[in-house]
Amino acid sequence: MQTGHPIDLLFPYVCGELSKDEAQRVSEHCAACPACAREVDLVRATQRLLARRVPVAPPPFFWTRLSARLDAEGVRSVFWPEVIWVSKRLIPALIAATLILTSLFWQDEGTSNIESYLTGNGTGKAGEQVLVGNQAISKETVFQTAVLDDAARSD
Amino acid sequence: MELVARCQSGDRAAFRQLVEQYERTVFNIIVSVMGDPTEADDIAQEVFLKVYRSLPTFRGGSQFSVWLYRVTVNQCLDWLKRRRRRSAVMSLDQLVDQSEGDLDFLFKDASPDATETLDEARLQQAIHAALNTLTPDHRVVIVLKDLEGRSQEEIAAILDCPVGTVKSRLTRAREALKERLRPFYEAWKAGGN
Ligand SMILES: [Zn+2]
Repeated sequence: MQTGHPIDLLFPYVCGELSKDEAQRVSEHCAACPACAREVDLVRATQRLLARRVPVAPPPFFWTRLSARLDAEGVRSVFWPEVIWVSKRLIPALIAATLILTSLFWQDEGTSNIESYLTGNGTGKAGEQVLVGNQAISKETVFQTAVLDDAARSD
Repeated sequence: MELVARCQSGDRAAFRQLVEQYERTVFNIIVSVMGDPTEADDIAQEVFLKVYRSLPTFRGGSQFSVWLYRVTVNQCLDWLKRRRRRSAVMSLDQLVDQSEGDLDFLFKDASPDATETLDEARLQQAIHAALNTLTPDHRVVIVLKDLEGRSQEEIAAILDCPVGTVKSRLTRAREALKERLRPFYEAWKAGGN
């Protein structure tokens, strides 16, 4: 319970949402405080107004119209939603597979670039970069690596 | 749950039963959140179509009704965002003007007198007009709590937010509604009521 006027508790008090003790304290406060008593009066009027709402009845033939739309949209079967649900889970797997394949392809491409450079088919100039896997490295580095590899192989 | 499981297996008769079981609440949530009944039929159809399409993926992790009301509330909020025209319901001021300043229809205890149908219609419009002055977020919690009688925990599940958020929204929404009614209520009290 807050000190002073329990303004925040007036709706819960009127709506019966307080514990017995809290409700008792609000009730005692309002009995002694005309300002809060007037406020409780307005809270009651607000809740009374809402309580007088008359629920609406669904319009007639709602099912008939809905049923016609189900037919029109061809959603008679629960097959397609299942397919959509499954494909939503397949898409991430497909993306992952594509990424793996793409990186393998680039790996392959990178090796070809090195080979074409070393066999003299490369058209680039010194300082240019080649793609090895998904990394760009300088041709000089590729050359040094290849020379060192050759030296190691001939040992 | 039995009925939901039958619907999931594509049983159209079971789906009809499900619609008939819940359509009343769905309509009332829609009318109250939208503030007028003109689009309720279209929105309700969208809700049940969505539910029908998504039923196969409903795994019963939450209660079916909670899920259905969540779809309903979200559909209403989407609709409100896209809505270009204003609600067809008159404002509270217009309704009071129409009744020539007589505020009894708002605050006088309901009488069983059948001749008061004009007042009754005006009262129903006034309730929607008062709700229309709230933001959609606030309106939703008032509708679910004070009109549909859902618990705060259930509302939190429907709105997919913490119970604390529901509590604070409800407090602010009720306060805003009370403040909207204050001048009318004070005028009515000053008139000797
Ligand atoms: Zn006080």
